[in-house]
Amino acid sequence: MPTDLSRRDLLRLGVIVSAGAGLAACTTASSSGTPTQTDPGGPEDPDRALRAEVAAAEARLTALYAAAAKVLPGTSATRASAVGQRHEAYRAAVQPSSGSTAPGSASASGASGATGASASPALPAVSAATALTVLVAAETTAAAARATQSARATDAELARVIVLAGTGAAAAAAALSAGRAR
Amino acid sequence: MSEVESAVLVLGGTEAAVYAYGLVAARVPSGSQRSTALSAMAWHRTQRDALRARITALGSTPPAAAAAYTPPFAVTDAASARRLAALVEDRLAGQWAGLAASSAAAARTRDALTAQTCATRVVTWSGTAPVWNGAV
Repeated sequence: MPTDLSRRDLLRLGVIVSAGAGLAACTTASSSGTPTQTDPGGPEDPDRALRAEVAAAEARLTALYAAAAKVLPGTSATRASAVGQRHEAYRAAVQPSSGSTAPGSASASGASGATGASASPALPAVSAATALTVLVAAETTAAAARATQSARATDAELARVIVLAGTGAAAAAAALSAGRAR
Repeated sequence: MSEVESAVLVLGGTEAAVYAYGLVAARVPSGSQRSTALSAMAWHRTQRDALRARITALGSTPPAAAAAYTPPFAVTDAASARRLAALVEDRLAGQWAGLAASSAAAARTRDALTAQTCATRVVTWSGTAPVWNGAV
């Protein structure tokens, strides 16, 4: 039943979006790591490739949410776009030179950087329910990937940000799944 | 912050979580919510024991738990109990992320996954998924 699915999608996505307001008020203590000796993301940064890899993955997730928004009706589409902004925040946080949103450091920025989320939609014409399934799978995969990627970081602050991107993805997958089960 | 300092911080949060879940279990309805609370308490106890062993292995002495903890707000009903559980898990997710960052690569992935378990429990109790765990 398309109408019912759409209503549930709205609820599911709204659950996540409602948490987004907290981004602007991030005041967590800064990390624990050793100071980065080089410009983060610069040519001498040993984590440069990792930053680019995670940033690209986060940009793809942002694009995926944008694509999902196209198959969701009305307000849920708007909210899906907003959820995608979470991944733009993670992308910016791992690439400070393009605008950092790391918790406890710089302020939030929704702008896309050089590797921003302007990729073409990743979802063909699918139902809202299918789009939701794809989002859950993508968030679950992202959570697992961030956990392993964090182990490759030489900069402790970068590791912390990647771990937090993973916790965000895991929580998003749980929230989407919980909504789907209702 | 060193790994052992981070581990001590997480241990403190975990001890508080075990205590908090006692309050939560007493306030949420019997049935699935209480079962979830007790299961989470047992899980945090396991983490606590592992953290104490880890701190010892790192050459330090794990601090003793406090006799009691004061919640940041009154826990008087199921709603406030769920809010407390979500808050505790959110803070712990952030603390585990800090420990992961302080850890060697071999332990980091495991710590990151533990942080994710806490983060998903935030959703269980609150229905929301914070963008940055531990920011509140």
